[in-house]
Amino acid sequence: MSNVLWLRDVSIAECAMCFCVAAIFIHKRLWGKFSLLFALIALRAVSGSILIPLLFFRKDLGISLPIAYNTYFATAWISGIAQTLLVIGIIYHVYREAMRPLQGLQRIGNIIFRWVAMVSLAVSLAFAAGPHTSAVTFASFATAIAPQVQQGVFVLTLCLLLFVCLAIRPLGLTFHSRIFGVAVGLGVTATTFLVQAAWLATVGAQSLYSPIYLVGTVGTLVSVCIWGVYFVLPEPERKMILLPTTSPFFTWNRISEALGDEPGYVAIAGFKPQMLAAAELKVLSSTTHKADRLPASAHPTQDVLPRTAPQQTALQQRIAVSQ
Amino acid sequence: MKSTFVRAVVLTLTVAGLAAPSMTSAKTVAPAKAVTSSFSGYPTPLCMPGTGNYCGMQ
Repeated sequence: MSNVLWLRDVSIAECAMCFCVAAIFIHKRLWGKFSLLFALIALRAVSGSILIPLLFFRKDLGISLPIAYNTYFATAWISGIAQTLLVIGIIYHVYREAMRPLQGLQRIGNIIFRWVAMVSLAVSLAFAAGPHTSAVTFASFATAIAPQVQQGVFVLTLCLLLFVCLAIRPLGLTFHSRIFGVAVGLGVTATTFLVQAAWLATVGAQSLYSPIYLVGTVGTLVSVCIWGVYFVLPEPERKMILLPTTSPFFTWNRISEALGDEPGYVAIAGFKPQMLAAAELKVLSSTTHKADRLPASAHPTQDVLPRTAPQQTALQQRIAVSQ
Repeated sequence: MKSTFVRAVVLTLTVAGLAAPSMTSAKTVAPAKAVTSSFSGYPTPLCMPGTGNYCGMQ
């Protein structure tokens, strides 16, 4: 069996599997909760049903080569760019869902995610617009930038998979959770595409029927099968998260929760009683009277360390500011 | 035991993926200008339409 036939059969199997998994999503009404993953699978199914006939059955369909190539070129590029954007969205969704119990870390992770995305885009644009680019057309610009963006997205995918795998217990997930299944499927796709990318600039990838494309096609087939299995099986409930007080997840989550809060203000110097409003003065005087009426046993420190007049004034100032 | 196995698989997957672009076996093959790529699981052509080059489409 030649490479072309292998590529054709695996592509058809992958396209058929995409339709099956999309049907599972619709049947189980999961397309709302995992809308981006559903969109990715549906897009793969639709683009596969256009690209496979053009690539392998053009002569049988009687389509001329220029028309078939132009259609193939446009469909492959539009689908490829849309899939890359959807994968970015899915990574973001998986991260948010995985970190849902740790709101502080989720919030700070969102900021870092957006920052890294913008820096990655800027670096890719800078490389693509560099002096090595010979012809400055939109098409050449797009073909220069798109592979770099895609490889960056796949490295990000693998980092997410590693994070979810290593932090699965503190996040209350198990290896049967759908979030983990989605991350594993994306990880398989990312690994196979990165392996494939190593061979693109060689004589082995000079044709659309090159055997190296079997790697990526098998990878997508495996990933779609993984998603199918995870979404067919019932998902276990999220476990109760019991973290030790010394856990870095617990500590960093508390720190992250405090970050970005509206700060309080303390009067350090230059405070005058005239700065207080009438209501504040009333509260302060009533507090002072109450403190004076308390029995001596209620002020144990007062007996030991009698307050001087300036200390009392400072205390009253603090009370007033806090009020 | 099971979780260790899953972790080992994921680690292998990650390391393989991250190390792939610098694989030495690919470097030994004659380098050439890339004319195809892959974004969607299917081969993506880099040859501009209208140039008469169809990236080997049959």
